Parts: sequence; C-alpha cells; structure tokens
Amino acid sequence: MNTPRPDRTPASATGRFVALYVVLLVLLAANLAGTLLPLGPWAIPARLAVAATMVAVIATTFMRLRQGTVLVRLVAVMSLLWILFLFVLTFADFLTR
Amino acid sequence: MTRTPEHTVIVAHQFENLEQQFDADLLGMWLFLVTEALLFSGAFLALAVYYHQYYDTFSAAARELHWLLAGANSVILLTSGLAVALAEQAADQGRRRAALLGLLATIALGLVFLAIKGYEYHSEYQAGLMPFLQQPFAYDGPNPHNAALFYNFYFVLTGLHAAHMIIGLAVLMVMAVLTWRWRDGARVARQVRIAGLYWAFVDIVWVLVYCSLYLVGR
Repeated sequence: MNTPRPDRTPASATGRFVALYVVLLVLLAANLAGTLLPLGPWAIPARLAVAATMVAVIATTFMRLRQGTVLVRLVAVMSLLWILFLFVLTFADFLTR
Repeated sequence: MTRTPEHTVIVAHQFENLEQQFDADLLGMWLFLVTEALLFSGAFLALAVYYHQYYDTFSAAARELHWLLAGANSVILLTSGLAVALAEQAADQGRRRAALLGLLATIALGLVFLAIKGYEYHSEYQAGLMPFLQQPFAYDGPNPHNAALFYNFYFVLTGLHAAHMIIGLAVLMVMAVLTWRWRDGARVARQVRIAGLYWAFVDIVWVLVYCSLYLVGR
C-alpha cells in the first residue's frame, strides 16, 4: 500500500517556507536591534521571547509539526512540559533558599 | 515483509503498511530529539542558575564574544534550515536534482558555519579566553574566576552544538549520496525527511545558544 501521505508537501509550500524564513530573519534582526534599546528589566524576557518565537516557527514549519500526527505533536508538547518541570522545580528550590 | 505489486516497497513485518512504518520512523526520530533536548536543557538550566547568581560578571564576559559574527552565523544556519526543508520537499515530489542541490547547499552552509565558529575559537584562544587545556586565562574584566565559569559554559554549549552539527553534516552527506544514486525515490524522500528533522533541531539549539550566550548579557 503506497497511498499519498496527507502531509505530503505541495509545490505551494515553497512560498510558505521562504516567507517563514524571512520571518525568522526579521525576528533575528529584531533581537539584535533590541540590544541597542534601553529595555531595562524587560531586555532578557524580550530576547528570550523572540528566541522562543523563532524556535516555534522552526518546529512548526521546517520540522512540519503542524502537519505531524497526533502522537508526534503529543511527544513535542510533553517534552516541553518536562523541560518546564526541570526549570520551574529547580528555580523554585534555588530562589527560595 | 510485504511487497506491493506496483512498487518495490518493502514494509517491515511489524507494520501494516508503509504509512504506518513512516509514522513510526518519524516518531522514533522525534523521541530521539526529545532526549537531545533534555541533554541541552540541563546545560541551559545550569547556565540560567549561574547567570542569575553572577549576572554582572557573566554579562561583562558575554560582551567579549563576537556577537555580530555569531549573528551572521545565525543567518547562515537559518538559511541552511530553509535549504534542507526545500530539499525534503523536492525529494518528496521526485525532483532528484533539486533535492540534491538543496542538500549540497545545506552541507556547504553548515561547513561555512563551522569555519566561522573555528575562527571565533581561534580568536578567543589568542585573546586568552580559554579557561582550560592548561591555558592561561587572560580575562581582564571583573571577577575573572566567575568569568571563567561563563567561558566554560560558552565552550561546552557551542562545542556540544558544533559536535551535533558535524554529526548532522555526516548524515546529510550520506543523504546526498543516496539522493545522487536515487535507487528508490520514495524511500530517499523519507530518509531525507528524517535527516532534515535532525538538522532543524540543530537550528533550534543554535537559536537558543545564540540568544542565551551572546544576547542576554547585552
């Protein structure tokens, strides 16, 4: 059985890949430009938020998470959950000593 | 194993069909990438804890890094991510030549990235910023002892990333050879797709490495 997969990339996907690549470059430029602005205490959250957005774009587009099976998406979300546990529980201990 | 009459597609006996087998292949790669993500997460967590503890010293040390050169490297790696995504798409559509070009472009961009990274390491070695291998640590900013910790994080994280890039490049070179031969186009497309997942993960790690080491302290 060799039926076409539902996530098979159509030819129009090229435009979407290029568009989101441009978005990634814009986000990178924004993060670089942000170092020139006096953002004060918002500087670190802003830089990390831009980086997190870039990661989300790469995962959903280049890694095709949006077209992935439910199981693959579940694995991706669960990995984020474990990493969240790692950071939240460690800092909960570290910051309350 | 099952052979279908219209294609010489081989499906392992534990799968009902090729689609199920490919889904299992993708899931296996994702599970592997999760373990890789947890490996890097441990290093990022330690960096975050020490950054919180020695923020001023770590920020001062981070300003010594070649942040614009690394920014150019970010552009190169993101471009290689696009190239491998286009190669996957071309292989999926049976366009062998375009797939091969995409893979070769990805490999070339990856090599340029490593060359620039090598230049960075060389200039840091010359500036005496390598606090290991019996090298004298010549950092002249505040709290050199804590700054050495930052540079240890820098070399561990970027070195670990570079090691993953070298593995990724080796995998992509194998994919380029398989694409060049093109013995079973559909199979090559599936293999390129799985290899592309690894390369995209390497992209993701670099985005986080660049932000946390080069930009957070600025």
